[in-house]
Amino acid sequence: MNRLDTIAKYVKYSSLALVAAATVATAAPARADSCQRAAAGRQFVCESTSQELRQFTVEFGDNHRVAGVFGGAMDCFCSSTGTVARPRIEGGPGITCVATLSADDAIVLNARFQGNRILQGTVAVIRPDGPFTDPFVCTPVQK
Amino acid sequence: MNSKRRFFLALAAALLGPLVLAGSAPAAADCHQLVAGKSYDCHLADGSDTLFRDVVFHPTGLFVEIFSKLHPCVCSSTGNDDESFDRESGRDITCLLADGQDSAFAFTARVSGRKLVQGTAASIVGGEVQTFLISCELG
Repeated sequence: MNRLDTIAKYVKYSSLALVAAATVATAAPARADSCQRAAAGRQFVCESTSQELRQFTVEFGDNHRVAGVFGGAMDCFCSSTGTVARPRIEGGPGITCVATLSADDAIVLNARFQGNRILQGTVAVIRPDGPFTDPFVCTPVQK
Repeated sequence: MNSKRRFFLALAAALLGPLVLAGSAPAAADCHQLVAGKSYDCHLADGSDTLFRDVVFHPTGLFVEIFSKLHPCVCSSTGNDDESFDRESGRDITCLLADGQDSAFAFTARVSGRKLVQGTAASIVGGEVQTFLISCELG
């Protein structure tokens, strides 16, 4: 009887742990909602690995469409979700910003909002001899 | 070993086993490797469900060929800090077609099996950005 009680107790606690894990897992995508809301009006400080960039700021305008980066303006858009039949255009957490300088020179940022941070970022300086790329992550600037 | 101890060990193995296996799995391919040499058919949800056939990636996966011209693509990166950054090792791909004037076409998507999902294509003209959902499948 004692052994059965122990097993029952363990199954109970294991179930609670699994339910808690499942809750956390399903709650995470809700936080990673559209980048439109996550970006609008916010400023981030970003860390990269290269000596040239090292640290830079990304400042979004009133909406996610324009970001001030490297002293210039970049045009931005979010990733999409849904299907071709039922699109949620720009409903995803990914963000891409583009600034074209010439036919062969451009700067591209792509990353993903997660919680209040910007993760999985790559900044690419596209040149005729191939792109220079560097990873980055950003945290919000507290105002 | 008593039966209680055996039970706990078995349960621990069942719960932790998948995590250990996941941790020891070989590193996943980056987006360049995943699309290298592949050709996709892409639907654009722009109201008319436009279909672009043969969106072909270069054998290196570093470029996409559209309108007979190669355009550079970059992958997302992984890692959360200087110590763990892994440059362009992610599955999100972004490609840029710029004309050098004030217009460009860019698309971003996540490589998932035979598909490019969560995609957005953007036409950028003079600071005006028009976006569409783009969804691609291996041709």
